[in-house]
Amino acid sequence: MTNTPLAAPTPVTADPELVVLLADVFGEHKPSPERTSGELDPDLWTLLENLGLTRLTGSESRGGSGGSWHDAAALQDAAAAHGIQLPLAEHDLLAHWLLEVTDLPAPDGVLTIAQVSAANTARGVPWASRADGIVVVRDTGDGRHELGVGSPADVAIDNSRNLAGEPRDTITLPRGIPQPVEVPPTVVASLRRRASLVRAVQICGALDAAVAATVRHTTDRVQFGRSLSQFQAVQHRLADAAAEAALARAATWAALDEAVSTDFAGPGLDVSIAVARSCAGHAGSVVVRAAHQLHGAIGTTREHSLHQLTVPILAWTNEFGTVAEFDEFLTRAAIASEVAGGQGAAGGVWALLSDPPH
Amino acid sequence: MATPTTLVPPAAPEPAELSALRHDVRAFLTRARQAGRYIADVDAWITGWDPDFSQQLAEHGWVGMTIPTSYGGHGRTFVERFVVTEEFLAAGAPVAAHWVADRQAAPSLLRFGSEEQKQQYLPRIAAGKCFFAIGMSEPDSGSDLASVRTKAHQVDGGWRVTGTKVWTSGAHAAEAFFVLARTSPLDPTKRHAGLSQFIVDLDSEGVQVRPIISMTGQHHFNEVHLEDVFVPDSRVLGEVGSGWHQVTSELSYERSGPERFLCAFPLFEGEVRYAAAHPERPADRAVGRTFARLRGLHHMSRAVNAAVERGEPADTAAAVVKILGTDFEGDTVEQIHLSSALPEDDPLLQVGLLQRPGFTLRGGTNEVLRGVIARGLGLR
Repeated sequence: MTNTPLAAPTPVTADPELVVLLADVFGEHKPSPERTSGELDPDLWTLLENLGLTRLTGSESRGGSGGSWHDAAALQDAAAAHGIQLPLAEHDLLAHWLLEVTDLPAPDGVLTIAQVSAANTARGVPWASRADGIVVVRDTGDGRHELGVGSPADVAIDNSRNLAGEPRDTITLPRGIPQPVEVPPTVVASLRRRASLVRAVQICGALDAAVAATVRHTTDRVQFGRSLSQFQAVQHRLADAAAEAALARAATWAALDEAVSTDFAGPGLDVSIAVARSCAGHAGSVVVRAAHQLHGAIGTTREHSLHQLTVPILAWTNEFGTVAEFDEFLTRAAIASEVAGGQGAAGGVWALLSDPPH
Repeated sequence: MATPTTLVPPAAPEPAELSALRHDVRAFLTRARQAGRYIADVDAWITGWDPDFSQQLAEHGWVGMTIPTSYGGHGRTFVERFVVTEEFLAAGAPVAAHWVADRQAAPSLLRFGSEEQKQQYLPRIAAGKCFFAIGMSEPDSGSDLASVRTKAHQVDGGWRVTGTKVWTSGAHAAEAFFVLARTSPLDPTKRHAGLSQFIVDLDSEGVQVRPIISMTGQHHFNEVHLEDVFVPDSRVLGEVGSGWHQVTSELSYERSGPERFLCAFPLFEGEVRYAAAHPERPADRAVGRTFARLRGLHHMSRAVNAAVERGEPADTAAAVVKILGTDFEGDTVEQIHLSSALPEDDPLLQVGLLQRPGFTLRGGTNEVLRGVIARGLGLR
């Protein structure tokens, strides 16, 4: 034991002024529940661009705002909580990051990211049909990866959408990547982790907002002469939903802290992100069910805003990795920890669970 | 984003110095387990009464950690105690003897005790030589603590206490227990007023300890009957009439601690080890899901612990940890049972199945705690 008693260090959080700004901006531009899903609202994008929010984490030398990943998480969280559909994560945290880290010039406009096979195709590419440029990472099929930027003219796009109506297109590059540059495997791994983590952050934003919306609805709605929130069965169902959302957030915050402190390269980060995605995915089923159950039939309609929170949760749960894949990965990691160091040695599954990365 | 529904505060990553402490404890426990000093068990913090083991842990400075050095303790923080406690629980170590003294008696004595009481008990608690029990529940007063019927009336030089306490873990082996008793008549408009806490030696005249045998066949619960037991004024804990405030003020640590999600950890570890030893069996994805929830709960419990240490209110967050954690412990046991992830006669599985009902009862039933969360959400 050291001589000085150890207090808990202060948690790192987003810039509080940014958090206030986000709530204001998104609160003011909250989309109508009856909007056409998956359309990129150019006015809102321009507004966010002028506020420095679309390039929040880019370095200032490249026209970014120099924000942290904790700031970015606050942005994603707030956007999800307000039902905003924009490729904010893909543009800043994935596409622009990749260009910056490989020192490539960035084209103007809205960017997205695609990971294509050796045959130059990819499914489920976010917002490809609405983007001005697609940053493409190609798996060469022999263990290498190459990178290039495709303009819509270079790419054949087959429109498709996720459950929430967001564009998730199939793309083909008939002439391959223009001017490919080799990317190291560490960058490809980092990209995968960023993408997986950001969906966990978005899910957490929507989970908490769905709980908050359900608190409001059950407080306002009167049946049998009293607010729904006064029925114990309602209170308990909401308590369980809120607890699940809190668990997802605890796991996601921990993964975020670890990602930031290790620059997305920590040896334990794949496990931590899988934990976050597993908790977020399983929380999704509890929260979405409770939110709809307690909203009653009105919550299943297009005119009510609840679907702007619950449907994206379901859509994002299996994007950039599925819950089944994350659970399987953790299963293998847990078992391997006992084969390698366990059986009572100082290691095993408890060490995998509790030892933070240092 | 801090919405009112973000019930649990964020936690900072565990600093390296804390991990070093964690590893010291882990290395000691691993050696003890490998040497056959103890067999890891489910719920060993309740059922594993082993005074010698408690004393050994105390010699390492791992009992009474938060007691100041001036009272024979170690002047450590609750954050440090947390990692040590997690290691005890994960290793299924027999820590029941000192558990209540360490978790409840010492903090309550420090906060509310007289100087003489602190001198009398704290150094021996830190040495692993003074064990406590808690007398709160009664035959007619389970979750509704304010309804306690045990009464104390003032006599020359002290109080006479009469009543019956139940579910008093370890009362047959402990030195003393904290008794919550009514010191003035129940006022239905102020149900929480008029309660007081007493420190009662368990060998006092008029104290009768009767075992309550659990359905596992084990004896850790007791019914303690007090018949006109004399308690001197010097053994009133804190202020007369402040009993309710005193017993509820320390609940956040108790409710959010790692004993709310790690009781079945030795069983989960057994499941993983069995899978590792039987690669011919298809791996069950439930292992990964369980692992993820455990890790999430570990972070939540850490976060609440740190928030309480910083002096932030954490009643709701603590209730969140307890309902999620204790339901999860039960789910783990049942998932292992229903998927035959371990042989039917696995001793930890059998203990787990029989201990499981207690997980969601002790420390405030989950039904009561869902009400606490509902209040935190603004629903009541």
